[in-house]
Amino acid sequence: MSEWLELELADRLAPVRAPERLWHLVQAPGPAPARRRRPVKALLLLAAAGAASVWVASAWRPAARSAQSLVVRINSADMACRSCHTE
Amino acid sequence: MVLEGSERELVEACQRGESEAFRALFEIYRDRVYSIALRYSGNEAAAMDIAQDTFLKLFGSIQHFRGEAAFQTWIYRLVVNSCFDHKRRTRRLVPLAAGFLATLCASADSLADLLRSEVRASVRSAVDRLSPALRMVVVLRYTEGLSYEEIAAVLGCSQGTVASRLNRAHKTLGRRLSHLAHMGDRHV
Repeated sequence: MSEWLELELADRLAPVRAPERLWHLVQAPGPAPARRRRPVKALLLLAAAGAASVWVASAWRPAARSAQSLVVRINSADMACRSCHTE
Repeated sequence: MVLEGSERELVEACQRGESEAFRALFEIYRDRVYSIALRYSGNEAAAMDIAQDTFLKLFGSIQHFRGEAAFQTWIYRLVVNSCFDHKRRTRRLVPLAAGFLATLCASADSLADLLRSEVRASVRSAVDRLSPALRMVVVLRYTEGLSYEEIAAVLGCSQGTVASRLNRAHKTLGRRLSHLAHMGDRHV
């Protein structure tokens, strides 16, 4: 490397004096970035919603089953009537 | 601890939470920290951010300083990390534009002044365009005058790596600034 470049670098990159206000900045830093919080509430809500949906599904299952059997019974009666009337 | 007597006492006072000790430590290192930040970033506002961040980290973590390394090396590591973090957080504006503005702002009372400001802007721009790793080695070498061994301790690499990076930086800078060499020969 040329001596000229060495001198230029030493000159251009020479140390400088820090501004006085740096101490004030260090003493009174800007607002800290908001801490990332764990989503405890959201997780609890999600778990509660899951449990509720399972309970609702299990509670409605017998009712749904009885409604289904009623439909089957009606259908079979309807078929029976049709078979009589067609004869 | 690897500390000089008075500095060791200062660090211990900081670890006890004495505010005057923080101020005294700040006064010892403020110019060094700010100079590295400014020469690395090439920007006064960024340098203030980096220096502030470094001192906040320093005061926040001085309790954990156990003295395995020299205290100065520890501070240099903090400022180097802050420089790299800052670079990751903010995309640099076009350095050429900054150099151009510096040239415009420089006093151009005479031809010599004009040439001098052009050399200054060109060197600044060439250093700015080095990769972060090369630029940091150059800054630690020329701004702080650290030895290869000290730079290696700060960066956590071997002295061979430091020598290799400096060599690459010199070659790159020499290539980019070759057009200015004749001005240098004329001592502009």
